[in-house]
Amino acid sequence: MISGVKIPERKTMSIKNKIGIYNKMKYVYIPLISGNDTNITVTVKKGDYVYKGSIIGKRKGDFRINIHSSISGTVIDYEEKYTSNGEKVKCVVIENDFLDAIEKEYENNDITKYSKNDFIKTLKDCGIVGLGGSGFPTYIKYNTTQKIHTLIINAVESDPYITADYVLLREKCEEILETIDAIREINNIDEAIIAIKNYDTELKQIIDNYIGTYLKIKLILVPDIYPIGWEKNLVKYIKKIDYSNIPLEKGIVVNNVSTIYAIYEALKYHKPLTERIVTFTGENLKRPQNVIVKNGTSAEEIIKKIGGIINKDAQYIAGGSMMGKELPTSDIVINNNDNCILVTTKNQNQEIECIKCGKCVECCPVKLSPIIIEENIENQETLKKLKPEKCIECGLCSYICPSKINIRNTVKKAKEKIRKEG
Amino acid sequence: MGPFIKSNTNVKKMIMHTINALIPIIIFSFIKNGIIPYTKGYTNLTGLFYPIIFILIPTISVIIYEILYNIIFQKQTNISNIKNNYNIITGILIGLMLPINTPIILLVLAPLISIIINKLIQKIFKNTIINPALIGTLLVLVIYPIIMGNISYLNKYEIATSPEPNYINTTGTYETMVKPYGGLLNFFIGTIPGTIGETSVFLCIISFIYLTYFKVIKWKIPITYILTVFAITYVIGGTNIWYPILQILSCGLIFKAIFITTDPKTSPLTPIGQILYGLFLGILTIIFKYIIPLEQGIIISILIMNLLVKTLDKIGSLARFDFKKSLIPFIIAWIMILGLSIGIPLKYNQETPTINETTTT
Repeated sequence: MISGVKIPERKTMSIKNKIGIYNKMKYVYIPLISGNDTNITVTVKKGDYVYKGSIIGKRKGDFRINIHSSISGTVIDYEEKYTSNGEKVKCVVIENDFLDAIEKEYENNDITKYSKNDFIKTLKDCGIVGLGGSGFPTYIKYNTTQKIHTLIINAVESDPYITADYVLLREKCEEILETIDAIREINNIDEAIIAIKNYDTELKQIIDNYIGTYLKIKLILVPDIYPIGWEKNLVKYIKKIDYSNIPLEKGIVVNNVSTIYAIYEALKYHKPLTERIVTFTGENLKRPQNVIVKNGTSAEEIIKKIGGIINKDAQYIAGGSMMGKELPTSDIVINNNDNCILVTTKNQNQEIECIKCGKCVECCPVKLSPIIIEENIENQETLKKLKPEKCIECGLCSYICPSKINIRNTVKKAKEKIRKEG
Repeated sequence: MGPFIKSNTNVKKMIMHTINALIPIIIFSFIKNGIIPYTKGYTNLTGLFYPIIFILIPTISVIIYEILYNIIFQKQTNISNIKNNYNIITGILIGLMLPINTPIILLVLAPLISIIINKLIQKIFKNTIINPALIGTLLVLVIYPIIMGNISYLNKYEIATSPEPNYINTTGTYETMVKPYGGLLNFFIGTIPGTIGETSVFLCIISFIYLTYFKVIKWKIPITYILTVFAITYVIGGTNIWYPILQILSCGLIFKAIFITTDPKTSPLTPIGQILYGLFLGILTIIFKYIIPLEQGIIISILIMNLLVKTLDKIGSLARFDFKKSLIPFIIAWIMILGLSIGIPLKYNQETPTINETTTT
């Protein structure tokens, strides 16, 4: 059984509106960050002219991947800007010449005619990373000699408010299915599974219209409990198996819908990853909607463009309402890790004394005992046994607490403490 | 810091749900102890409303004490905090667990003692470890010997019509144990002598379903507790099914299982801890019924188990990763259950005439 809790959806506000595109920005600030890694070599210098898709940075270390310019123009400066992780990151500032010039004409390939090596090379060259929030280079998932038997496409989006994957699948269903089947064929995978939530009947109907052609793609409806979109839970629900670190241990690859679409553009046109779909939503936005955003665009500009905020006392959150981070300012640059910018009004829930109801213990998807961790936070020996390092920071314990205690932060602190002190 | 949405359950709602669950029980005790004696002409108008007043006195006392405590010791002038205070329930429960003839002075004193003892414990151990409602009730039942007499449990109508309640009834036949009260159904509905609010098992079960549906109580505790007592008394009673049923229907066991053992602050947090808690509560209750017969055996069992909650929390939280960590307490529990089920009938066979086989219907 999957443990989890049904939580409010709040998706309707952004789901109905069409996907917008924003490309009127004067500057982009391409953050030199990939995943959470800021160890990046810059390959351009001030005054260089860059095309849309030109490489401007390379990630070092084990997960090598390129960072591409999202517009054409001139590199004018380096600047520290806030990104969604709440920290200032060095960015390459490019002045837009509004030409969208590309160095080389886009190809028009048959996406099924790839060898496995070419497939991996293309993914690497085009800088395709996981768009579910991890920023993990996608080619590494496929770059293995191990037999992959199942490809799972995560279209669950269990976090409230976010609809980026939903609208993408709705608009680009045909291309996405085509790509899934191509990836399956190229990597000799037995079966592909698309997982959507069981109440998404509109989406189910759209997929049903196309899926008939692909005999080896299966649609699976998963129950609406949070955090079902968490990779481990999803694999457990679909395949009834557990893994310890990555699903590849059991011959499974999990990809996000947005990533699949990025792979489509890479295979079809050899187009690098320079833009992604981001949900701008929240009660404090005049017109919540999904926007295709170029890497390095300021969130503030887009919010203004789509109508602005209602209440001045706004709270900006990157990521969803459960796992997201509060941002110090709305002036942040969007990069590949961001799937949602949530704008709400600040509301203070007053914490009261714990009544020991045990709800946080019951709901924890990784079987931690948050309140007992809090009681033993000073006691290193006991704390170690309580395994706070297993916390996935899903936030359910804080969500469910009737005393409104932000217990997740305590568990997170315990987690960091254990990591530090061994 | 996130998460930025919060569930709509809160402490105030949980308290309200518990009060809602208690309302039918309060109404029933009003009918049983107020309306019926009044209509039969056994009491006057004061007597009619006495059960309601009886329950209100400790409740209001608790609220006043808590407000005074906040003002004097916590220097808080904001008395609206009281609506988040679980001790309101304590007041109601004290009222419901006492016999109707308890003097009013004790109704005011019981919650006072409860709160003083609890605040002291909280100061020393930084935790509520002993159930506040129970400690007050127990002290009243012990320090005032007159009401120890079973007659104190009877309201004016019952004095005239009913037999005395037999609170540690362990042996006897169906005719002596159940018949005088008119059958097991009366035990279920609650038209038997007993404390103010504990007699109606039927309403307790309705409340239990309500509270479990709204996820207010730790339902695993009453279920394992009642099942443990049922299982052991089933073996003790031989083949007589009425015997274990009578044992769980009497003595306010179900009321205490549902409302007292699940008091959040004094019960285990983890599911495995809750199951162990229920098992050992059952075992202790049986011990205080058959081996060391005590009139308030259930209350004493719960108070003893309260002291073990911290240990159970520890076992329970480790056993979440590896069930084997809780194997030893489970084995101890099973051995004790087996030992009691086999040992007690042997003891009773030697000493007194056993539960009569020629019974039922």
